[in-house]
Amino acid sequence: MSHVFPRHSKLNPPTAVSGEGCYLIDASGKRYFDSGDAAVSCLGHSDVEVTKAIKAQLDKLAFAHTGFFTSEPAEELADLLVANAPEGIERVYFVSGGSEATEAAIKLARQYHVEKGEPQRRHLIARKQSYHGNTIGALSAGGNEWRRQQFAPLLIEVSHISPCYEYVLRGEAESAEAYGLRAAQELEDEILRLGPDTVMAFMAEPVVGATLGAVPAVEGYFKRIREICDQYGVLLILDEVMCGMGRTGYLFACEADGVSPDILCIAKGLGAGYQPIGAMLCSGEIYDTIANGTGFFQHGHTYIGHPVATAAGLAVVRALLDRGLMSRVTTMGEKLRSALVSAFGQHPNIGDIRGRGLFIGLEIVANRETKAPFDPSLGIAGKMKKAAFAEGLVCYPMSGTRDGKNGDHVLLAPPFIMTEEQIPDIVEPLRKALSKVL
Amino acid sequence: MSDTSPFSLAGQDALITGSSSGLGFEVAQLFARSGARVFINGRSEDRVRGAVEKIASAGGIAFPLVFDVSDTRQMADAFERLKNVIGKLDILVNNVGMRDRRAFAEFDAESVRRLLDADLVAPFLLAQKVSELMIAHQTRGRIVNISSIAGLIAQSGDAAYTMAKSGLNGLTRALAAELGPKGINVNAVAPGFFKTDPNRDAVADPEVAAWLARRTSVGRWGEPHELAPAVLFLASPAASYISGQILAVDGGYLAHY
Repeated sequence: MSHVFPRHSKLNPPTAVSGEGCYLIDASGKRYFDSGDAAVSCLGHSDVEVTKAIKAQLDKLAFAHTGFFTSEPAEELADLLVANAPEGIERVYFVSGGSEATEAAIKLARQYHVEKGEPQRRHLIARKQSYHGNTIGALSAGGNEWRRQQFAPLLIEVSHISPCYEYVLRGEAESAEAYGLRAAQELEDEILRLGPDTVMAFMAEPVVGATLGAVPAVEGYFKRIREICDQYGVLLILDEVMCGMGRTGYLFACEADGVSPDILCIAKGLGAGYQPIGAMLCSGEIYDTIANGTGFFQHGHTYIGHPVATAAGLAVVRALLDRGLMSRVTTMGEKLRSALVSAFGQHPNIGDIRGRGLFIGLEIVANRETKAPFDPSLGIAGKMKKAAFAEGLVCYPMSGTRDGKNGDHVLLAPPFIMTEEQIPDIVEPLRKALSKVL
Repeated sequence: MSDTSPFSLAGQDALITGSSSGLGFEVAQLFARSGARVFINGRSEDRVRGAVEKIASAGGIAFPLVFDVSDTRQMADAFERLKNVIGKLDILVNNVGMRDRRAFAEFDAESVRRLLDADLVAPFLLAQKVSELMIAHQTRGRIVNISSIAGLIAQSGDAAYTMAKSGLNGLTRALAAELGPKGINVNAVAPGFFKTDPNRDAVADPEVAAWLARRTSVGRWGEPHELAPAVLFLASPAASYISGQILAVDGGYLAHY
């Protein structure tokens, strides 16, 4: 009997024993194409350079508490990230994962306003159908009803505006641009409703991942969001935990939207699965406000800035930049997407194929014309996950796409090193899974 | 190209020296298209980065390896980095070639040595390092030296280069003999007249074109993409029983009179 507390007690998962490029291999020798359980393994499972960097760091220094020391890899990784970060981003706060990054972002936003002399700013606005993590603060910011439901009494108060979800929410006669402005307007309306000087931050994913299935905003949406934030002194927090670090073809996903946030969260691809690491990056203005005030961000975990984790992150980011992988993501993303369109573009139950780079979502519908979702009691996403896995594909199907209850999608986030020849390793299991489930 | 093609380099790792531009880049590009992971080498970080970017954006996998082949220290560091990046190597293409056209009487010792360092000592040392790695990993390795028709015939005003390329052909045969039993095939290609950047003045000259029309069997300049397939052939499983050969890729120049 296992003593591991698993994700799900009813599942009896195989034991993963090794990784080879884009593939995971279980104890029976079965191979699975890893198309992004959670958009982590961007370099595949056997990157020699990253593992050597980790081993070298371990041989040198495993751990030194950041209350006393900084470390070489943390300094170098921060330099490299800032050198490539959106304009204005000047500091990096290393954590161990995405939830920790968004949690830290919420606290930093609050402390910034307090130190700036605006302690009345306490409201956070986020979006429905977004996911920002599973700890209490992060879960509060997230707008996915299913994830929030039973913990609702414990959550902090956060406003949720509509996502920018063109496939479902754009009016038939509405242009993409007009829709983007209408969607962004909800932010201003909510700021005004709460009281403009009481709002501390707005948090959003540039490309919504787990809960919407790779949905980028329409052009102009985030530019308008940035304007509204600036107008009311509200900080813009972008959560790039899933979509950042090259996943969309840009090291930082917001580059595609032409905006710079005040606070930016990354994780997943930063460690590429070789180490658990995340980071919260912030503007010079925010850092200076704290530095010139108390000088102390009242936060911290034991493992922040962990030398081995940051050494892994450094090797990963260097690999992303040195190997031209962002360009590769764009090209391979187009190839994969066009293969998916030719395989499923006319499928009666695939309503939308969307995304950016190697971050692609397929929305499953009961009716393509009306875009009506399947009855949630059918559990389509869960069945898709199981069927695809049986066919040797690790992907991320999720239900509740529309409102936390209705709707299903499959999220694909394969390694950046995947080749054109491997496209069938994704398309064929999906095809078989779809025909089995529907 | 499918994995079962005898010309596929799927799963293989290749280092091509001087591959940030020109014929070396053509080789790297074709290797990447044929499934190999390629190390792009050059002296300029920007040019190497640009070449890596081009290969990656075409769906290939490339790693930068900036070093000067004539600098033994840089070569050793780069080789350490190569081992850190992927740990093994299946193919080495010694492509860097320096040319110094002048009358025999005008050569000085230093410039002759500089040319020999780049064109002969560097391939020698690199082959030594690479073969050690190949033998350690029991790789069915391939070394392809980019020689020249100047290694087989000669013209006036090109003595140092001609000497170096003749030496490279000798090295090719010597290494084929010595490394063959260890599972490594060593061959060379000898390009003729190609439309490369260093040849741009001659390429622009209609008289040269007219002369090539008479002197080559195919009657024209070689296009830059016409060398790489020969290198691919020698590096691929298709050439498993070929070693110690100098394959002229010259439009028939050597065979024609």
